[in-house]
Amino acid sequence: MSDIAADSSGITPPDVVYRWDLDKTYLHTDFSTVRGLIQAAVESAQRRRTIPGMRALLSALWHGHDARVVVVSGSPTFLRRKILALFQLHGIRCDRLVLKDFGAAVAKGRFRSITAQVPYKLRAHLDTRLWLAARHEDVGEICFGDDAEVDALVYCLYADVCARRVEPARLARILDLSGAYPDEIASILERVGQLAQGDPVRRIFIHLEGNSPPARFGAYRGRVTATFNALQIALHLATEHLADDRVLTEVAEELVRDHRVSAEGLAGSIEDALRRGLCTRELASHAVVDLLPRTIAYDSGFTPNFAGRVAGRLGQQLPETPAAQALPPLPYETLFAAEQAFTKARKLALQTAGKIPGLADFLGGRDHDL
Amino acid sequence: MLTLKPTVVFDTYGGSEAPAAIVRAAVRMARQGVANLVLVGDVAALQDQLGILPYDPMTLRLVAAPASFPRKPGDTLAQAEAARVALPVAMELLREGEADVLITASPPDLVRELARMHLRPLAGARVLATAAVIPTMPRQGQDEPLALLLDVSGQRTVTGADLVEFAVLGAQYAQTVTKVATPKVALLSTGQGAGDGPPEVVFAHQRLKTLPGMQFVGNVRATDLSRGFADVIVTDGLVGHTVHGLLEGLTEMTVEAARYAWKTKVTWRFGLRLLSQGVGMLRKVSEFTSYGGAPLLGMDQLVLVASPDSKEPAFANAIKLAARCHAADLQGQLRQAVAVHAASSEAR
Repeated sequence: MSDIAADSSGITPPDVVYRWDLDKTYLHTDFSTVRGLIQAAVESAQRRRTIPGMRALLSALWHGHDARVVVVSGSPTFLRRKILALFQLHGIRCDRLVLKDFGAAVAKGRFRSITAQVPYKLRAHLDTRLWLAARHEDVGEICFGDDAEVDALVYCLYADVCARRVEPARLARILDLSGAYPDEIASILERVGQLAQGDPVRRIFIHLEGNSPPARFGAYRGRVTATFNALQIALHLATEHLADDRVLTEVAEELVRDHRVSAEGLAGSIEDALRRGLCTRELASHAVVDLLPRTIAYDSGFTPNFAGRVAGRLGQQLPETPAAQALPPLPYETLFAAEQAFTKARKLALQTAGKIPGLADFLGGRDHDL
Repeated sequence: MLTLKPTVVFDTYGGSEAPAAIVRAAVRMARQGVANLVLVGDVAALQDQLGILPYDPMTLRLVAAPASFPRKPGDTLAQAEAARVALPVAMELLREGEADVLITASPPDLVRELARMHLRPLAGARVLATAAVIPTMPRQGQDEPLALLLDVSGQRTVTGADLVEFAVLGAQYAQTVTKVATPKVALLSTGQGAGDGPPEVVFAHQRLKTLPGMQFVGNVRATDLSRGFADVIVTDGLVGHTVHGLLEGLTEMTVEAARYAWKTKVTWRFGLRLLSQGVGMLRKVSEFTSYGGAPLLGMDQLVLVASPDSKEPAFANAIKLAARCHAADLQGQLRQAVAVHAASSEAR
């Protein structure tokens, strides 16, 4: 693990900490494949693609608050300069960037560490939390991850460990199950002991990038907010008064300008957010009627007329009751097994569909029409 | 030519496997980038179905219709009542330009009735025709041995001029969507002679023979229907409906006979296994539910009517067909063809 503060010159405590994953959460990269790694290594910061809307989201959130940005990623350490250059290009100060030291793992013959994400990420989160605590900046955190790896599980475990909802003995068992070496378990338990008890994690967002249905995260009992795009994150944060109109409009503008999202696409995201209880009807209506027609979304068809029709239908979207916020410890052992099974099944399905001629066609169905 | 991805609106109350099969097909086609989808129906029920699928709200939207999905599966009467509420909502989306094509598996009579009430007819068009695809014998230069039969609405076609207009609409559809350069058009009648059949067929025969740009190949009898003599076969709505139903029934009967043979004797089963490739091909061609949808021709917006027995692949094919029609600007071509026909009729 390699942990370097890029720049951190805070004098007063920040309002909030934004804790981010990189691969498939902020960046459109695939560090889990050799091809993806090579591409990430050779690509310039200017050419690197971000997940639609995420750049505007982080930038608007960061500029709106006195915030810290902590990035914990499974990307290799040799990408550090590239990643820091990217954040600089995006006008965001990355206060803490933790990357995975694959070289050290190989040198020590710890091959399990290369693939094990839970021990690596949990230790990195705890380290950065200790770093914040040492600076008296141990404020609330909003975490951002994706569905491709075990982000949801790690963030929940991190929250439970900080709040002492998971006993050390159980934590050791979970870490052992997830492939941690004994000394790694010991070092994590040591960090937990150093950390003052608290409940810093306010919200965990999981970006649905890996073709997961939202129901997959039902097992996390409402502690994880599954979102399809940055606009839905902005809407949820705005509902909880953690973001304002500026964040919403900037995200929407990036989606339209840089990713050619249509008026229907924006409307669909807002309607879906309302149905899944991510935002209130008032906020959805405000975004549709007051905000979007005044942005460049107007050029993509988000006219006052269109907005009026969409707003008229918002009442019929039947918002779900927001999930209960009770926080009993989650069944991490079962969740870990389910996450592993999902990852394996997805990999296998993708490999098989790519290798067997005609299978992709078969999965796509027959084309029969006159 | 239009190249933008179309927005397809779906009435989710129609079909024996609704709404699950529709939702699955819609998610798959939206993910494959074939079309953007709008599902009209019971939003709570649809969201339950969607929650377990990897959908994307940017390409798949839900619009509520003030009707709950029938609780009892297979309650077609209740489904039709719900569709009576949902279809006007879907048609309003078409009219307002929020969608390009409507797909429904609700009863065709209901769809026609509501389309007349809620959609505009094509400028110059006097008729509304329901077209259906029927299997034929293989023909040279045709990838798929299929022909377009219209009208199959079940409504009596009153005049010969109506039959002529069906021919114009059908030929344009075949040319635009099936890409047959000059579609062969025939009239279904009792005999092949120009004077055979009822007066409206005789009248239509005379008009079609001299209609500019029309490759009219004369009359065909019912026995010639599947011989592949024509790309477009024009007939009275009631006759077309009967013929179409009969062909569907025959297909079902053949499949049942094969099932019976499979269960009854080991030697028959062995025979069927030897013929399995051929039987499979026959079934592929004759399986009505897999064709996707039959277009309702004559309205200013495109409506595709899918079979009530449609399953997920058929709904997916209907969406592909909708995308194909949109890409080829079918409505624009039909508008032009009808305008030319109306002008030439007036000149006469």
